[in-house]
Amino acid sequence: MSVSMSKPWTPLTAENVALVPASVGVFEIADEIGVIAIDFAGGNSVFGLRGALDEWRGKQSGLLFRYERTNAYLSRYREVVQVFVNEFGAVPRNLVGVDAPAGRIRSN
Amino acid sequence: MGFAITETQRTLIENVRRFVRTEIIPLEFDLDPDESELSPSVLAGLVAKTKQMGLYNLDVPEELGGVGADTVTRTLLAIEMSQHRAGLYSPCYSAFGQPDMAQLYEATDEQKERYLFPILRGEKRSFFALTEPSGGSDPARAIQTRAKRDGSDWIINGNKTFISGADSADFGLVFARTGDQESGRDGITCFIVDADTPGFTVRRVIHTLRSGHYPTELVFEDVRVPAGAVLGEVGQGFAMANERLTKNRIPYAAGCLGVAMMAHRMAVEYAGIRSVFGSKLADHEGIQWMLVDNEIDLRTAAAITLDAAERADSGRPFRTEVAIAKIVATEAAGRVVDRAMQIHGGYGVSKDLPLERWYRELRIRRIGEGSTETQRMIISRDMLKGRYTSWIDR
Repeated sequence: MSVSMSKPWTPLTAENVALVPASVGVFEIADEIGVIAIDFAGGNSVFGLRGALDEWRGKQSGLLFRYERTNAYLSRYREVVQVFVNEFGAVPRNLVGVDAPAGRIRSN
Repeated sequence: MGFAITETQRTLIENVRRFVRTEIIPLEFDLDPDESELSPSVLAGLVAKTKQMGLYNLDVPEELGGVGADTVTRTLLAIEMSQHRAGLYSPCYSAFGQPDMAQLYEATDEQKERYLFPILRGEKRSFFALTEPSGGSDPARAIQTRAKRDGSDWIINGNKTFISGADSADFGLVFARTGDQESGRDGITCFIVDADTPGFTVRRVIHTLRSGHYPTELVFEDVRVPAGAVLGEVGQGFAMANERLTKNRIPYAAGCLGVAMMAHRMAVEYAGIRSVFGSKLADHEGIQWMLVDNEIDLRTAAAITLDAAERADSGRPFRTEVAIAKIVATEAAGRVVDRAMQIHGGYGVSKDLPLERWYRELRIRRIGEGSTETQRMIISRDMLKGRYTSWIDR
């Protein structure tokens, strides 16, 4: 199993977001250059992944997304962020200035 | 058995209870329901308060600057400290000190300066790497990670699994085989390995029922450590690990009781306010019996756990008593939380309440720190070895 998210990217449109389950899970947002956000829809989220992605839809046009539906959303989120930081040397844009997960997990 | 809570213990219990209710539970309203960590600044604020209360580093001996609480007191406080949403695996988010690394009390002065004292000051984090893919219940035989001498150094190769905290730790205690495979427990040595040592990798998170506080998988590929990294004596690592595992099962059992007591209290209160078929839930015999079964489970498990703690303090043999406490408390707590969920109906399984989290996490407790079956083997070994002594004469 890859420790990075590996599903194909999907355009962040209203039609595509409507197909996303309202479950808990982890997601990534990318622009034309690369990943700009890693986040999760947790137990307090309203409409789970669908609601969280819908919020991103209004922020910027031309974005892409991918997600994993998982009840282990916190551990998966921390793993994906660690892999990203160890690969790119910095947190994605949405985690700048916050207590982002830090650790030693790298891409296999 | 003949247990009574002293005045001092009662005061400590009340102080910790107040801390949980005024400092911890309000914080959890703003956290994800599965969260097990606080931001460093929030945690620092809580630690300042526990230091002011004189309760920081509860498990640490007084000569090292800790509280040096006896096992009974520690057990009573573990019951209180776990009574919040994250309490089973992150009691008070470690505001009362990092998880115990008692093995380091036996370290050399140099090792203490480098590892123990920074841990006690909350400056470093550690992990404990015993379990391997080949098994966790019988580490003396299962350990295949090998350490070989190379001049004055040691070279470690192997894998560890289900190791908590390794991805963010500064160092770990790593148990490796230094004798041949037939040497059993006498061939295991404990090494202190810095997490930035070349060849050490945290390969992945193991995603389980417990999302906030997760285990990891470790790889050691030609990890070179100096002779000074050996903790204790070469070949004596298993004895060191085993002693820790046995005694740790007492607060481990107590933590289960804490969340179960809170679940039971919630169920009693809910049964008193929720109406169904024209009367309160508490008026229905089916509910009353569930609550009574909870009360019986809790009192039985608490008595057995405190008996094990008292034995540990008295210097009498306590391995069997700890094994019984571990089985009884983990299984009773699971039943209590299950009944509390049933009484709460749909809300019981929702993330609006902590019950579903405790239900998931308590399932792990019947496996962690020696499974129920391993505890039964320990009890039967003690019972059948030599002349049988009944509990009344022990």
